[in-house]
Amino acid sequence: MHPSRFLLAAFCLAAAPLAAQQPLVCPAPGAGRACDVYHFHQAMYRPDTKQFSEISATTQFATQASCERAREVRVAANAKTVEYFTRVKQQQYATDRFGPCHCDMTAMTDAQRAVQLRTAEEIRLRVRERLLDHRLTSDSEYVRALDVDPPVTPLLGAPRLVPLPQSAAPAVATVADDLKPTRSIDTSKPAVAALDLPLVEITADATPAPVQSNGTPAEATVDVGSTPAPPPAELPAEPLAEPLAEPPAEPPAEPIVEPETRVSAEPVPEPAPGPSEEELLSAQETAERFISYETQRIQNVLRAANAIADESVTSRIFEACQQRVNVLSNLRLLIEGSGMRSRLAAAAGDAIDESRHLALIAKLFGDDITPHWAPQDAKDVIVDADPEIASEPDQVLRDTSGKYTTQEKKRALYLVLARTQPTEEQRLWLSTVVEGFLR
Amino acid sequence: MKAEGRRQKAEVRTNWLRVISYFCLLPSAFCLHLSAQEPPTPTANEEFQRSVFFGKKFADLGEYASAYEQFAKADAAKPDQPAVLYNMAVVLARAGRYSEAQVKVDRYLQFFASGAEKSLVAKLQLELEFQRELQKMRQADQEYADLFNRAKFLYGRGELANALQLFQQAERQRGNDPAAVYNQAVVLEKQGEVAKAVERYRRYAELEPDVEKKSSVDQRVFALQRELEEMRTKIVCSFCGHKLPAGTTWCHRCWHGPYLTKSAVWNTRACVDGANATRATYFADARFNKNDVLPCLFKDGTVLDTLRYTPARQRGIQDARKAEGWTYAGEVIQGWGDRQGNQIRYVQGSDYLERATSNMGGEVLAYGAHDGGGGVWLLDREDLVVDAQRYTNRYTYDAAERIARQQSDYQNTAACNHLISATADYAYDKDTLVAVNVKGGYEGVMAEGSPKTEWQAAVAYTYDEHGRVVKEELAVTSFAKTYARKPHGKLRDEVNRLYPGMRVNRPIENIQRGGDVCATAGNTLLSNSIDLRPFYVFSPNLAIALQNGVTRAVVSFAYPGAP
Repeated sequence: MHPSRFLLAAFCLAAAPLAAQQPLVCPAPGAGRACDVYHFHQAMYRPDTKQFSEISATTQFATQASCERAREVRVAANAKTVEYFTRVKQQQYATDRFGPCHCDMTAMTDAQRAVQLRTAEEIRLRVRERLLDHRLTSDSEYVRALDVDPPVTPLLGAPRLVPLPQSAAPAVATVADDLKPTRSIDTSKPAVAALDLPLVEITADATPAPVQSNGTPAEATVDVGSTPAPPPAELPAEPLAEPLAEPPAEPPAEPIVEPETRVSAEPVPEPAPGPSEEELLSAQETAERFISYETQRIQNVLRAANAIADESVTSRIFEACQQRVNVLSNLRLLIEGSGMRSRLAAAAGDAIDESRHLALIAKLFGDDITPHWAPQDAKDVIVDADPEIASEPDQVLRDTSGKYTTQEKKRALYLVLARTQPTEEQRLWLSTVVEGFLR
Repeated sequence: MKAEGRRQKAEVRTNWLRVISYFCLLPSAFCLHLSAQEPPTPTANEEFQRSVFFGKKFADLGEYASAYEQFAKADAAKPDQPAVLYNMAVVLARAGRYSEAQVKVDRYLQFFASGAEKSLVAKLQLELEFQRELQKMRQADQEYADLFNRAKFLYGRGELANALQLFQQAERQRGNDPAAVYNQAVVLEKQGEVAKAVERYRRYAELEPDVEKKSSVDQRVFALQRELEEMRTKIVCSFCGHKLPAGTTWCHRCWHGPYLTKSAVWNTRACVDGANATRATYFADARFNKNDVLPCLFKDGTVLDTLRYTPARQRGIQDARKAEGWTYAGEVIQGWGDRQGNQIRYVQGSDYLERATSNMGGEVLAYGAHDGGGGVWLLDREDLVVDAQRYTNRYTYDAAERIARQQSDYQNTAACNHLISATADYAYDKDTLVAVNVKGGYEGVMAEGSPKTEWQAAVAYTYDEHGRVVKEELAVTSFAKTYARKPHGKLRDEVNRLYPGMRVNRPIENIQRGGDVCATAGNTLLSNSIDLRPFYVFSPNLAIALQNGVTRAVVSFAYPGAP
């Protein structure tokens, strides 16, 4: 053997154990530092020099687990090669050494990395040459085992430009809550308007013979558009015990509706009330008298509204009238419920003319209600309210923080009476509120 | 005589009987006569009074149906009493039985036009008229409510077009109902008709009296106007749905692309009638290889129109990805996962996607980018995988932030693990790409004889007078491979089989015809093809790996209306 070759062989024999002693790991990362990529070092056995070359520019892995899997594949492939050489009596062939998977702390440049990769490729081809030299074909399993690459995740290899998904029109999430409910239909309004007409007293002996009238029913209706309402019907001779059975006294005055939409402001004729008579009036009679007067007013408005061609306007007038009827109905209950000693009943009893009627209404519902309450024009009967008050009038009325003025509270009272049918308990509370306004 | 006497006695007896019977019958006749002239029997009167009394009591209790029954009994006892008729009409009206009440009023007026209750009846008549009007209004309300509910139901079922139609019908019926207009806006918005939705929201704001609601709609309108503006100026990433400035090259949240909306080359494959793209390839000896009809890419004609941002399109893309298992944090894609625990993780930096990792293959794809201004991020470096081959691309840009050069490095794991490097230089005329020159190659290792391969290719573009690309032509202009030394041992035999005439330091002859082969796997030749796949940015038509021996590719385009 040539001395130089001997020396080389000796060096190689010495180098192999040295390589075997290397730890095959990167320097430990700083404490607490998260690891982004993992890899393992491989000391590759080069059969021509019988030396090991440590390759650290190996494939990087996202997780320790995927690194371990790839390492196992590599180890198995190398074992297959070694097993082959062992079988063909190439006892000197050494197994590659594989370091553990660990955080890749190598900081190589691309050029350094390329050098390592070329070294690995050189070794791989040397082994390949040895395998081919043993008459293995290039597609034998031992030769193919030299080219083991980790699997590639298909999703990461998808084209960079992808077509739009087929279901371009996405299923639109539609929840009915997205939509607004219509407020043109107020379900809180009663389906029927309160009917304030009283029953009349019926005596057993009052039996006028039916006489066929010449007039038609239509002719018999009151022509409120041009003439004042007739005087009230006479009271029956023998009233029943119930006060409700009493027919109402005719309203002291009835606002006259002028032709077209004008509503007369001056009710005629005015009654001549006597103090002594007032004292005799019960709360119910007072209520009846007051409400009848106001009912007539609203009927006048309704008739005047008939002359309006614009349906949207008449519709709003009807709605306002319906609200007014509800107000009156509730007022009746409040007057009756609070008794004659109450301020409300007293004020209603004192309302013997138009001005006193309006004064009471202004006290109850605020000064600015007057033009709506006794409208000059049918359209004026429509009462607009501040949306904040209109949305929660009940709360406005109950508010004690001083947030709302008295005028606003009075408007809220109107809205509460116009929109609701208070329970007995609520009526008690409303009576207190009304007394407060009249104090 | 006796017979005569008996006859006479019988006559006398008969006469007596007559007299007696007269006496007996006369009082009863008298009685009958008297009874006809007497006042009503106490029973009938009592019945009348009782019924009237009960009727009022029931009415006081609000039991109007019962009250009516009682008054009807009274009416039966004493028909057509005016007060009874009136009271019947009132309780019927209070019970809501207006037409029956009207009958009673009519009857009253028929008989007692000037009766004592005349004024009350007149009021009642008015009340009934009012109630009729009210009922008409309620009926209309009900019909309107039904229409509204039907529309809401259809909306809930996602039948947007039908729901819209009904809300429009509702608006025609009640033009001042803000809800009908608002709901149209909502439906239109869901349909992606943002401009129309804005118009409807504005109309709603005009109709809505509530200041708070009005202002909330103003905010919505403002947001939609911004959306409209974005629809004009933005596109969506077709992969992750991220909103991007039109004209960006990549989506910086997933690095898909390119989305070169202004590039004539990228607008060559529209999905419209009359448009087509055909790629013909030729071997080195000019023989024709084959034609590939390239499928269209952009269904709305242009890149911009196809990818133009709309909220619906963005939602559609994101929903599709989510269905595939991709996850999002807001608008930004975060990764993918399946039930088996396989995951792809997108490591999103504050500005762009910095890494994509997989826990399956363990791949780590890294990206580096710089701010190109106006929300555009430009890749400086990317790891790319195409058909299981991994590349690393590096880009450099000119002053106008156009790609000036791209370098692609990779280890060709599909063949002989050579470390191949290729660069592409882009040439522009103003904003138009006119040429791309690509060159690539590698040096093998000593064991295989240190082969060195170098190739060059040129891509040229021909435009028509409308600025459309009519021809895109790739030609391999040079191709050389030289072995610097003899391959080692058995590898030499393998190379000699690949290149029988191989001589060290002499270029392999006819390398263009046979391609760059480097090894065998059984009967399969492993080769390093001219791989233009990593150069996917410059063209969707020529980002291919050239088949061995193919040195020329010509892509011809036709456009609608073009001769």
